[in-house]
Order: sequence, then structure tokens, then C-alpha cells
Amino acid sequence: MKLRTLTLNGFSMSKRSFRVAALSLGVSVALVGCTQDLDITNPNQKSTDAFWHSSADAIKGINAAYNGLENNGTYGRWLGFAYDIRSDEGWSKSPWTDLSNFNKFTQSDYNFEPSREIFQHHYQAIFRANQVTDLVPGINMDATLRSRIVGEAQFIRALLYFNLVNLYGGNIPLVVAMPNPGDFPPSSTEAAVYTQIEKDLTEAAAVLPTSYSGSDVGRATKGAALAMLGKAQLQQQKWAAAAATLAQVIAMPQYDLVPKFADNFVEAGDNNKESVFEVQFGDETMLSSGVRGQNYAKMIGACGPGFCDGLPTQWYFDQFFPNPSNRLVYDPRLNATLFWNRPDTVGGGDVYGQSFQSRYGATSTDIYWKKWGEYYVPGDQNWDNPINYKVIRFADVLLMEAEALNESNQTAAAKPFVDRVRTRAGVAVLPAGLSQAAMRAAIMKERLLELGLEQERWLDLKRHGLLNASLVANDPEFSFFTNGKSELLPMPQAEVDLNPNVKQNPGW
Amino acid sequence: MCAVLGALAAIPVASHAQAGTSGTISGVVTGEAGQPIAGVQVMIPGRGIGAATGTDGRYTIGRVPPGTYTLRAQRIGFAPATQQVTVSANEIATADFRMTTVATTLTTQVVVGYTTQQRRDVSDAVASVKGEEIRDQKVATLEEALRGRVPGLQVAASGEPGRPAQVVIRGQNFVSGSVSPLYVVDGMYLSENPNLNPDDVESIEVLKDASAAAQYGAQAANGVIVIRTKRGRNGESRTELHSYYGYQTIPKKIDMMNATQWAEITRTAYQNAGVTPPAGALNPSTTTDWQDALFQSGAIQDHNLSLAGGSPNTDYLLSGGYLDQKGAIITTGFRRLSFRLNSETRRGRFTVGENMALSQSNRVNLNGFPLIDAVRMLPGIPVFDPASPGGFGYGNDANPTFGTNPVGQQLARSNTDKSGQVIGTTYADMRLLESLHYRFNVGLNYANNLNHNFVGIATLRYRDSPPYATLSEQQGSFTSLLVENLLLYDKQFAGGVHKFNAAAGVTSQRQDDHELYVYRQGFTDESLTQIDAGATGGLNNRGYLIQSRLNAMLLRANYTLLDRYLFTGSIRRDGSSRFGPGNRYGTFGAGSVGWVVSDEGFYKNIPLLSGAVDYLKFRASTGTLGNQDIGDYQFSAPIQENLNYLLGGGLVLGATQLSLANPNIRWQSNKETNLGFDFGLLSDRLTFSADRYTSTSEGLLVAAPIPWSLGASGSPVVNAGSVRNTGFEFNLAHHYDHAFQLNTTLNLTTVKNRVLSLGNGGQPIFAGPFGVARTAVGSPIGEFYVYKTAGIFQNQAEIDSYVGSNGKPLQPNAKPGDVRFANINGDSLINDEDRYNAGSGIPKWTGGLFFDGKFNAIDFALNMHGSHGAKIFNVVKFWTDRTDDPQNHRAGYVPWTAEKPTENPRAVFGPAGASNDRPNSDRWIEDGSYWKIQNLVVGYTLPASFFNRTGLRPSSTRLYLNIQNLHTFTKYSNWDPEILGFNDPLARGIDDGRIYPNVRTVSVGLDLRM
Repeated sequence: MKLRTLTLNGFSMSKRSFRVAALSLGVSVALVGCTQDLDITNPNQKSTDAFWHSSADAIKGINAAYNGLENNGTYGRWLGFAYDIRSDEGWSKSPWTDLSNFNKFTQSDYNFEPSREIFQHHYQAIFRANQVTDLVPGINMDATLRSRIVGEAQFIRALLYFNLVNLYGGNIPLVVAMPNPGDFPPSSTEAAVYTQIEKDLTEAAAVLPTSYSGSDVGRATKGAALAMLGKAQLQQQKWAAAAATLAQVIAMPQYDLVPKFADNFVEAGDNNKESVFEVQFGDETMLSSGVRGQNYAKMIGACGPGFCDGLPTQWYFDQFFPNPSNRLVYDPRLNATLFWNRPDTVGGGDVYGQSFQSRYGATSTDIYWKKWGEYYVPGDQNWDNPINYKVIRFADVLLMEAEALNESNQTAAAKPFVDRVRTRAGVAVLPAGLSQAAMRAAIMKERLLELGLEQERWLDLKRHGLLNASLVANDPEFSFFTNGKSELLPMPQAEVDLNPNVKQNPGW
Repeated sequence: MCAVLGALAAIPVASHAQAGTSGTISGVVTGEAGQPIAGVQVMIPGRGIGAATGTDGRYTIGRVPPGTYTLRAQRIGFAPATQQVTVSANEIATADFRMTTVATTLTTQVVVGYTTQQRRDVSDAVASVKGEEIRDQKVATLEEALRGRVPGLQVAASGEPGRPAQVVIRGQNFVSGSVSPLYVVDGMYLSENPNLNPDDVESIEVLKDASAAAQYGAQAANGVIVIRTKRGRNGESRTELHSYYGYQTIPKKIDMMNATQWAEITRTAYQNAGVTPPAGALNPSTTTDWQDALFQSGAIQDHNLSLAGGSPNTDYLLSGGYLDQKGAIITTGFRRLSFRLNSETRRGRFTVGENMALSQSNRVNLNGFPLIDAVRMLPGIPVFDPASPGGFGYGNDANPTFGTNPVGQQLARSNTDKSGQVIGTTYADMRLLESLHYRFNVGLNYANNLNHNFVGIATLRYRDSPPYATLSEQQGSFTSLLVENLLLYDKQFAGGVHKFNAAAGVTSQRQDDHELYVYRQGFTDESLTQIDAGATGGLNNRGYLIQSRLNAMLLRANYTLLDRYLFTGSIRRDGSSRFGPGNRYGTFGAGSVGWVVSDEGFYKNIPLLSGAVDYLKFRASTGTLGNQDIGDYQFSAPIQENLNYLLGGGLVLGATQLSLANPNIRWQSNKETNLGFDFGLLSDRLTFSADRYTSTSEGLLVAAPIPWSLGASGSPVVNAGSVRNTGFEFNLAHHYDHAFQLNTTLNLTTVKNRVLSLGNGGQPIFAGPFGVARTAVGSPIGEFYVYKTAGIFQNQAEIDSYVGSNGKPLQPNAKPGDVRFANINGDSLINDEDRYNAGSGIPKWTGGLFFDGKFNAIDFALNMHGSHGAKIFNVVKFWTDRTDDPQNHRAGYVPWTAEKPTENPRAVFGPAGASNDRPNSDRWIEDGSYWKIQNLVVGYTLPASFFNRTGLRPSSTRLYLNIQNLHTFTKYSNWDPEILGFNDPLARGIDDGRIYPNVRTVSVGLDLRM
């Protein structure tokens, strides 16, 4: 009975009302029918599936991988700190305390900029190379060009892994294909990384041309791949293999030492015949074109024109003098390598258009890095320096060959290669009949004088087991060196935090 | 269902079935117009007998013992009425009531999105704030006015002129994308703070639970704030002027060391490190107070004039406002001109109207990290140095700090935003039936912003000499268009037994964001600061267009049975262009039920409760909301052009993919439930509400950082993981309404935030400076995860005996006075595995206490709000308390020495001090709890006689004094613990030196009504 009050009599509608309601509903439904299209393509950038279809795409892709070599963490800025300023040839009194600490093997933040950027920018460039090796083989294009481009990418990848394995050790993940967002690539081993490096370089050497012309000059060549392969073998103390590989480069007719040592480190010396592989840089005006300059000279260069965040050690400076108490007799390469208060020239020499003594005082004993700087341009060193960075110079190839032969017990065969470098430098050839040990020391010294600030010293020390706290004799910064820890950089905190499969380096 | 309702309906009428030696009371309850009123409780207080009226307004109380009684009739929305009645055995005594309506909070209309209900009929979690409450606070932005006022709403405002505050509703259920709730202004959807003139606001409703918000589907996951602006009313013509002027200061200054004190510590630091200090470093000749140089007395003025009126067919409101604010940090400021026109015309079945707001604003921005530089800059550096290029002092070889001259940052740089905005809706409404309307609604939000950033050639930082002046300008033009076709139904049946209202419709939105960016360098004459004056070498430009589309169908219905059974349901289906084909559509739905127990017939039989509580309602809701805020074009990876190279001496073009994409991204959905009750005591003078909410997000859209070794930049968005927020909300309001009026409101909110799962293989996500904020399963979002300090080593023996599991010293290089770090994992090494959870930036509870009242011509208000349990990672302190790098220090900072051991580590420069000053340690974490006196207002309404001789006839004239941010009770050592913590949703509670402290404002104002 009580349910009556709840009947839905109020819901009854007249026919007219129904028509109105139906009409309005009809209007609404019609409007639903003309709702907008939800397919929107990005009008700003091509999407990945619309790329990697033509040889033009393949060339753009490999060029972008080369572009990755210009970043701060690759050849743009920090490698010089990691390889040279940390070694006994350099030190830092940068007012940027954290940077100074970095060179003293001290990092309280494992994501500190140089450490982070070297890691990050290397892997970013590897990602670009991996896209080429993964996707270019599927493009329908000229087969020779296609395999060349893949070979270039393999060269770039191998070069980058060589740096990573030497700076961060075998705990780095080895990624050689395009990853997916959910991947956590595990720590690798030094051996596995080197195996990949050798594989990439061997395959690259097989397909890369010996030289390029026109607008391709600067790409990785067969010689570059072989030289890098030799360097990787040498670093693993595969002496005989290294000697054989490097000999192939030396036999290539297009390489030779340029007459003047200093000509290698100025813009005019870009892509010269001594250059085996170099990273191409542009000046500041190229920034908006997506190309940049190297920052070494600004950061490491002389105080004043540069920031002198890295300095040569006194010990390194003294190496140029047969008798350090006589500053008049020295290896002539010194003047292409360092600024110092030269007693043999007016005003102590020129520093970016101003005499050393007027900049730093008549009796200044300051020493500064000069190599890679635009010291011939008066004024301050520009942040973006267009001088190409020579990753492998023919002189390095000759000295590596000498070392490989000497370590393979062919000490006598090693001598001519060292002599060739010394002769160009304008110093006397080595005495004949050096013992293997003496030859080893001579080559080490030669590399120090020839290849200062060329990212070799750290590798040389490491290769010969000399990288330890006892280097404090050469460089007081080694008082902060902890054996068993400081040989490697810490894995960036972010990588360890984000990737459960990566191990932190020992001691960090 | 029907049977259940029938049984319930039977309860009130069941009592008249019996009769005996007692009598009966019967009668009709009508309203002012003689209409019958259903649901009135008629009872004999204290006797537990009574009945409720039916739809005809009639009631019958049986079994009443003979006698004379005071009979009381009460119903929410009406003034209670009493009358004497005498009952004799076996007779029917008649007592009719005529009741007058009174407005209470329970009868106010609440706009719950597409439908409107009386507050008493709402079963969703909705909070309302009225325009007057906002206006009385005299704030420049709306959210500032909401702060502390609505339970469940967390507002972080700053003192930066014109900077919108950040609002989070009911905890954080997002880990990427926008933090902002959806704003709906007069029906128009706005994804960001609409920057409205607070004087134009009629009401704000905060839709907090799924049932209220589900009608906004995919855009509602962060909650919805529905704003109605004022309109003219029929028959009145009013003119109002509101005006105030105030001055503003930063209420606190951090005491820093003078040059001599600084030099002393620094000398020790160099000595302890065995390093020769830079020449001249320790003999500063001047002492600069950087805070004095950077802070100033600001000022604010705000004037609003509105005209409103209406006739039966038309109403209008016209208003204009002018706000001008000079910031408390030099050069900063904000100016806004705003105009509004709201009008409506009605003719027969048709109604046409519009709400249109125009505004133009200029803002001068804060540059760099001024609030770090204001304390870290060395006291020996002058603010101005005529010898330096640009005339500002900065770090040098003698004072080698890399701090930036914060005064120079503001003076040598002109960083301004100029914005114009139109927000409007136009609607046409056709009455199809008495109860059915068709409504066509078009909304537009057009915003144009020009950022102009001219950086003069001045050197402001050590070794950072700009070679030329630069200018960049970015112009954005944003258009959002909303088109809606709605059917609105509202009908009562059977004399109000069934009340039904519903909205159904289709809606579509389109957004275009078009940005242009230009850059030039080399301005030889710095008085010419426009693009054309720059050199053409090195110029740069960019531009892009981002488009998105959304289509939706929605239905929302409210049904009220017998005024006491409340039902609400919403369903919405959205399609979004932001997802890839196959993942575009999502359906979101929710419902709620409410039960007004106090209207039940049996309620009077409940002892205690029925006597004390006039009104009691239980509410429950559940439902699902969506989130599509992932940015655009995320489901495919783009090819980045312009990654060029030089070959053969010439430029060659390069392009490649830089980021990884996730083609499978789909909707994030939030499941929310809410349980609550409301009750009113003492004729609704005291009301109390409590809510318990749970919100669980699933398929959380996360821009998950990926290992760097993958080599991809950016973070692909993945549907990963789940976050749950739970908490309670309480609101207590009391109205004392006599000659002396006092309203008291107290609210309290608790939040517990937990990450239930994360995609990304379960890997925690690290964010914030030095990666200190960790989002991990089982913890709150962005909990601080840092090394734990465990005191100071007092001597070498302590260092030697502090050993790890291998028995060797854990900190062998430490010296007495260095920080000891806890070996959390008990191994043989102090490293990143020894970090621990050190609290988070999410407060455990927040609350507000508000008083406002009136006595004769004097009115007053006192607003306070507070927060408890949040931790703050104080980046500013990291810069002032470290000695490994040259910084200024806080006055009274005493580093440890053997002679005078303190809790601070010894002063030591360089690598030896690096461990003490490790950035990711709990040394920099502080308690961020606070209690703030937000507003103190005293007003005086002038007597009408005051104007007798002037010829003016204002209906009301009020003068007032308002002090904002009067005092903050806190232990936090920086300027202000109320920090904007949502810039990075994964790193809240980080005081990063960019946060403009809330200012103290003292203002006087005038309200004039005619």
C-alpha cells in the first residue's frame, strides 16, 4: 500500500515532450558524429618511422653520430681533465672547488659534471651510432655507401667504448643495439668491451675507404680504424697484434709527419697529412648551425685568456729540460706545448698577443698549457675554439708501433719509429743499442713530450702499471690517490640508482 | 531496490496505526506561500515522539499521552517553529505550522560542475568558498585566498608578484605532468590557474572526490576547481568600489657574517687544508649586506569598480580592475588590468548570455638563484664596482666565489612577461520542457605571452664575462576552444519526494600552442633593447606548434528521494589525441550515495543524538578519474634535426633520434573513494564535517628516468606503477550570531602518500638537486634519501675505532672535527649504499583556523594556517654552511675546533672538506613545520550620517586595515618554510634559492557600495 507513493507517475511524458526530447537528443547525436579527428601528426618534427628510408637519411644519421663527438663529455671539454689533468702531467687549482677536487680523485657527488657528462655524452653518441648500425642496413640504397656508413658508426662506437672502458672500467654496460625504455643493461667486463671494440674496428677497417675527398674529408677512414684497433690492442698489451695492425697504418702512403710539430695544433693544421682521425670543430658563429667549438683551450688554457682550470705540473715542465737548472737548453716541442717565461726571447714569449712577462710579471715562474689554444689570435680565448682535436696523430701511431715492437722483444726494430718522431721535433735520435727497459723508458718519455695534453698520459701510465699513489713524486695531487679506487672514475650516481644491473666501481 | 525504498518510506507513517488511551496530534506544515512542506520533523522535544510530514505537508503523531506540550517543527532551510498544543485522550489535536525560510550553508546552491544542488543534497566531497570570504583577504590571486581554507587543498604561494600559487588537492597522485587541478571558470576548462581578479568571483567549489570530478573525466585526476563569477541580479542596480593600498616587505632577514668574521673562518679553512689562500683573499676591505641590497620595501595597490543590475529579462555585470605591485625584491613587480562583462538575456524559451574576461598583465621576473646568492656572496665584494664591466662587484682571484651578483642579475637584465588573456563563454539555452533544457556552450581561452629577456653586457660572476649583450624573446599564443552540447534536466515529482536533476552532453576541446623564439646578440647601444637593434651574426630563432584534441561524452545525474536518500552518478568517455591509435579512449565513472539520517522518522528516537544534532548526513562515494597530462606527441619518437657536423670544411646536415618513445602509453586512472559525514548542532550554528579519502592511481603516467647507459635523452612516459593517497579531512564551523557576530572555522587535513609500485623494473626514481629526492616503492613520493651524519669525530682515536665489517677504519682520511657518516648497511665502506630515508616534503597534516566577526560597525578577521611534519632540503644552507669552497656563512656559525668542539664540522678547504660538505647528506635537511598568522583584518563601516552633507548616498562604506603574513612560527632557518614544492613533482620540499619568500603586507582599504 505504501508503495503507491513511490510510483513513477511523475515520469510520464506527453508525446509532444517526447518529440522535443528526441529532437534535441538527435541534435546532440549529430554533433557527436562530427567530433574532431584525434589523429594529429607532429608538425614540428618527423617521427622515427618516417626516417631511415633513404641514403640521405642514412647520411644525416651518421653525421649526427659525428656531431655527438663534439659534446662536453666527449671531445668538447672534459676528456682533457680526465686523461691529462688527472695524470701526473697536469694539476688543478681551479677556484671551482669541485672541479679541482675531481682532479684530486675526490668526488662527494658522483654525478659531478665532468664525471656525469663524460658518461652521459659518450652513451648518447653511442646511441646515435647504434641507430646507424641497426637501421641503415635495412635501407634500400647503394650497397658500398651503406656499408661505409655502418663502418663509420662502428668506428665511432669503438672509439667511445675505448674511452669508457679506460675511464670507468669494465663495469660499464655494453650497449650495441637500440635499447628499449625498459632495458637495464648489466655491467660488462673489460674483456668483453675490448672484444666488441676490436670487432667493430676490424669490421670497420674492412669497409672504410683509405681516404675521402671534398665534403667527406674528416670521416673515419680505414687508417683511422686500424690505428684505433692498434691502440686498443696495445692498451691490452697485445703487443704483437698491435705491432702488426699499426704497421698497416704506417704503410699507408697518405700519412706522414708534417715538418713542423706546432702546425698540428692550430686551425691551419686541421685534417693535415699527420691526422689519422680528428674531431671537427667550428667557431662560435657555427653554434646556431648546430656545430660547436672545443672548450679545452678556454678551460685549460693560460690564466687571463683562459681559465687555467688545468695547469701543467712542474715535473712535466722539467721533463723538457735535459738539465732543469739550465733553462736555455730544452726540447723545442716545449714552446708548442706550454707557455713559460722563456729566457731566450723578448718578454718571455707571446701569450695571445701580449708578452708573458707583461701578463704575469717579469720574474714569473708560472707555466700554462698552450697546446690547442688560439694563441695566435690576440685577446681572450673564445669558448668555442675551431681547432680540430686530433684523436690519433701519425706521430702517436709511430710511437705506439715502437712500443709494440719493443715489448715484443724487437727493441732494435722499434728505434727508427722513435727516431722519426725525434727528428721531426728537432732533437737527436736515440742512442743505438738501448736495452728493452731503456727503450721502454725512452718511449714513455717521448710520448710525454710529444703527446702532452693529447689524452695519452693516463693510458700510458695505466698500460705500464704505473698508475698509483707513488706518482706523488711527480704530482702532489697523487696524495689524494687511493690505490684500488682512484684508477677509475665512480659510476655516476644516477646510473647506479637507475640501473640495478650496474655495479659501482671498487672503493667508491 | 524498490522494495527497500518502500520499507524505508513506511517508517515515518507506521506510527499512526495504533491508538489507545492516548491522543493524537495532527496538522499541516506549509511555507510562506502556503505550499505544503514535506520532510518537516514535528516533535515533542525531550519526549522522543514525533513524526515527519508527507508530501502534502501533513503529519500525524499518535499515542501521545494527554497533556500540554510545546510542539516543535524543524527542517533544514527553515526557521524552527514551536507552538503549544493540548492533547486529550482519544482526540485529535490540530497544530498547523507556517514556516519561514532561512538561508544556511545547507541551503546554499553548490555548483558541482554541470549540475547544481543544494548543499544539503550533495553526497560528493565538495568544498565551497564564497566570494566575500576571498575578498576580505585582499590577495592578488585566488589560490592565495584559498590557502588553509579548504580541507584537503594544499596551496603553496610565494611572494613573487604575479606568480600563480600551486594547488594540490588531496595529496599527490602524479609523478609527472602538470600538478595543477582543472579549473572550470563559468563552464570553460582551463588547465592552469586562470589568474582571475579575485573581486570578480562569486563562488569557488573544490571537487575533491571521484564522484564530483568524474564528469570531467580525463582531466580530473588532480581534482577540479569550479569557479563562478559574479552576475547582475534582477531588480537591483549596484555600484561597488573596492580599493586598497599596502606596503610589502620580506619579514625575515638571515643574519650573515661580516667580512672580518668571514675572513677568520676562511683563514682557518685554508690553514687546515694546508693550502695557501689566494692573495688578498682574507683582508676584505668592505662588508656588503647582500640581503639589504637585494630586498626593498614593496607596495601593492588594487582598485576595482563594478556595476551590476538587472530586470526580469536581462542582467549584466561590468567590472574593471587595476592591480599594481612592486615586489619586495628589487625590480620585480606585477601589474594587471582586467575587465569583465557578464550578461544574460531571457526571452520565452530562450536564454542567451556570456561571461567574458579580458586581462592584460606585465610582470618583471626574478632571475637566477638570487636567494642563494643573497647569502653566499662574500661580504668583501661590493655590490657596485665602477671598475668592472657593467659596474657590479663579483668574485675575483682574491674572493674566488662563483656566486652571481644578485643585484646585478636584476638590474643588468630585463626579464619581463607581457600577457593578454581572454577567457570567455557564450551560451544559448533553450527550454524544451519545463524541466528540460538544451544548452549550447562555447568557451574560449586565448592567451598571448611575450617574454622579453635582455641581458646586458655586465659581468656578474667570476670568470663569466659576457662578450656581448643578448636578447631573447619568446612569444607564445595559446588557444583553447571548448564546444559543448548539453541537455539539462531538473524536475521534482510527487511534491518533492523525488528530485531528479541530470546533465548529459557531448563536449570537444581543441588546444593550439604556437611558440616563436628569437635571439640576437651584440647590442652596441644598450639603450636599444629590441631585436632589430642587435647584430645579425649569431642570431637564432625557433618555433613550434603543439596541438591536441579531446572529445568526450558525459552524463551526470542526481536523485534525491524524500530529501534524505541522495544518489549521484557520473560517467564520461574521453578520446584524446595524446595517445596512440588503439589507446585513445577511456571511460571514467563514479557514484555517490548520501543519507540524511536526521530527516528520518526514527531519528527522534535516538537518544542524545536527536536532541543535540539537528542535521546528520552520511556520504560515500567511489569512482575513477583519468589523467592524460603527458605532453603531446609522446607516443612516437621524433627525429631531431640540426645535429650537424663539419666535413671537408663545410657544414653537413645531421639528424637522428635522441629520445625513446613508448607507443603503448594509455590512460592513467585514479580510483578514489570517500566516506564522510556532516552534522549540524544548535540549529546549524555549529557544523562539522569529516571525510576519509583514498585515492589510488593505476597505470601511473611516469616520465621514468632510464639508465644513462641507454644513451637516450629525456625520459619516455610509461604507464608504470601506482600511488596511493589516504587521509582525513575535518572541518568545524561555528556561527555565533548576536549583536556580536563571530564565525570560527577550523580545518585539518592529513595526507599519507605511498608509492605502491613503480614500473621501471621497480627501480626508484631520483630527482632534485644532487638526486636527493627518491621515489621508491613503499615510501612517499620524493622522500629525501641521503647519507646520515652521525656527529663529529672528536679525536683520532674515534676515527681509528670507527671501523667497518673488515675491522678497518671506515673513514681513514678523516681528521678530528670531520663529519662521521653512519654505516647504514654495516659493510666496510661508507658509500651510496649507506643512504637512508630522511623524511619527505609532504606534510603529515595541514590546517587552518579562521575567525571573522562583527560588532556594530566594526568587523574583523584573523586567519591562520599551518603545516606539520614536512621536511625541507635547504639548498641555501648547503651554500652557507660549507667551508670547502669560499662562501659567506650565517652569523653564529662556529666550526669545530679541538679547543671549542661544536656540532659543525671543522673548517677545511678543498678536497679535505669535500666529505663534510657532501651535498646529499642530512646536514641540510630541516623541519619545515610552521604556523602562520596569515591575515589580520579590522574594518569599520562608516555610519550613513557621515555622508549627509556630501550629497553622496552610499549604502555602505567600509574602511579597513589588513596585515598579511604577520608572523610565522617555525624552526626553519631560511626566510620562509612555505615553499613552492611542486616545480618538480618528484622533488618537493626543496628550497632551491629560487623561491621568493612570502611577503608581509600592511594595507589599508576602502569598500564602497551604492
